[in-house]
Amino acid sequence: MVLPVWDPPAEATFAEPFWAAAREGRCVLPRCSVCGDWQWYPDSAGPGCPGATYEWEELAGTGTVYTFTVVRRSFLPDQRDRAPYTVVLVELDGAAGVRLVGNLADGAEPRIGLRVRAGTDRDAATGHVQPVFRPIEV
Amino acid sequence: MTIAIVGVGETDYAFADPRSEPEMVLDAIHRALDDAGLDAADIDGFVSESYSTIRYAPVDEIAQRLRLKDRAFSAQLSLAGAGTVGAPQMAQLAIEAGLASVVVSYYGINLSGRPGSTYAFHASDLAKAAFEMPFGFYGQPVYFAAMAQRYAHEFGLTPEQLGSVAVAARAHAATTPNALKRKPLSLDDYLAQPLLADPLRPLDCCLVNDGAAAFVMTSVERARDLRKPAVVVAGTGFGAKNVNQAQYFSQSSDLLSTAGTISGPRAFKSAGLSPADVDIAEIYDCFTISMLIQLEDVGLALKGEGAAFAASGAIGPGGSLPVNTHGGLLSQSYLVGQNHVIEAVRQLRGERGAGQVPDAEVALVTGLGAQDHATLLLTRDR
Repeated sequence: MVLPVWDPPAEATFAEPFWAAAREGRCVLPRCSVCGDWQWYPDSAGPGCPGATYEWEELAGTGTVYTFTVVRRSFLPDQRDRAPYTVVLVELDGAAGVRLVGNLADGAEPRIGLRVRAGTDRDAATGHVQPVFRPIEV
Repeated sequence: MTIAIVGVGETDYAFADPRSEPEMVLDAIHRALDDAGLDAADIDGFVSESYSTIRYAPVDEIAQRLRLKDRAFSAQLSLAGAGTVGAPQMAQLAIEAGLASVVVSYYGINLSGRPGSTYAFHASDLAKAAFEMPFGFYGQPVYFAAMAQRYAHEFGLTPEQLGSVAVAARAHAATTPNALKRKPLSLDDYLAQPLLADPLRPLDCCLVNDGAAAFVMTSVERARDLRKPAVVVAGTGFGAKNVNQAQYFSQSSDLLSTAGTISGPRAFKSAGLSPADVDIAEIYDCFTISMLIQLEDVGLALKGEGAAFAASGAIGPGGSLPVNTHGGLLSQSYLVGQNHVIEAVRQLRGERGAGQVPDAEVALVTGLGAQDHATLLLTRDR
């Protein structure tokens, strides 16, 4: 197993709070400052309520795998052979209706319903830090 | 006033066609006009798909090359299959309102000339680039694999069931002169392919190719004076999920249905028909799993039973409900549903030779465009 290496685009400034936290293994998500609804995904247009901004709130970073796939050939440009890796869609505790896309840490067996916690993985060779989900030991 | 599809035309599909989209589109339109017995000068309206078409084969360019003096009506309804299969709804509105009398819908695509562009459409969305690509959730096979995995969890889905969709598509393609993949495919061939993104294999994915297709619409009254038997637009339906395109593959409340659950009932209601009336179905099969899900969404199979229905042999040649009788996007051509409409027309005219479904009178066509979906019901005239 490997992990993808792909940075979020610099022009996606609306993603900066998420990534700053994610690189520390924490999980923050935006809510609408007016109605309080989770706004996932945020984008450059902002929340729907007039005059609203994004308010970022920290969550426990735990959740449940809704679905997954083991990608055996990467479609990222120039990364065809950087595989296999596991993508998970995680339903986060405390943020109903939100699914976070992420990777499952190396060595973990994916399954729907798996309980996971957000963390990070550092590639020793490249220094690249990737947010990952790890199974919660029960 | 109802409308009819009176002419259909396709380029000779190829994995690499050296022509640009407008050149291929003009070829397809001229073939469709010839099929109808109409001239370019008869055209006064266009409906086109709204994602790639407005960029690569815009209507002003097509109309100018057809030497049209005017365009009374031009419209786009939606993207990809929802735009191509939804086109008759817009044409019907225009013709009924007296805005236009002969409306052409076209689609052209040249993927061989744009390496990587098959996936890049999704990379152009900043939210997807920021929250999905860094985790390798990128490329349509990956999105649909996650969908299939959830389907398997909820309802059960065996490799043999998925494979039966690819095998049926290929069997239909074998009887289709303009199909790109006509070599027989067995379930063992399918199962022998390595996985691409679990549980999907390359044979679960649509083709990547070049080509163009067009169809011509006018009132049923005028259609009866033209060259070929009229094929009536009996019902149309359009619907959308409450997510945007960036959210579609991850945030939809339910990954196991498309907006076909909305467009399907709307189309049946407008036609005064029910799923039991459908003789053949041309379902947008960008992937085997998306074909199965739409089959359920529009009511041709119960939710969760589409896979077993397909594996029973029902959708293949000679089955109780032949599906994608041209081979679909999986084995005929990736013409984004424009080819599905054309195949339905040919079946209802009785023109399909070795691939003809006997006594086909009612055809259902679906088109998926991420959160959007269109369903079209076509019938023989009278």
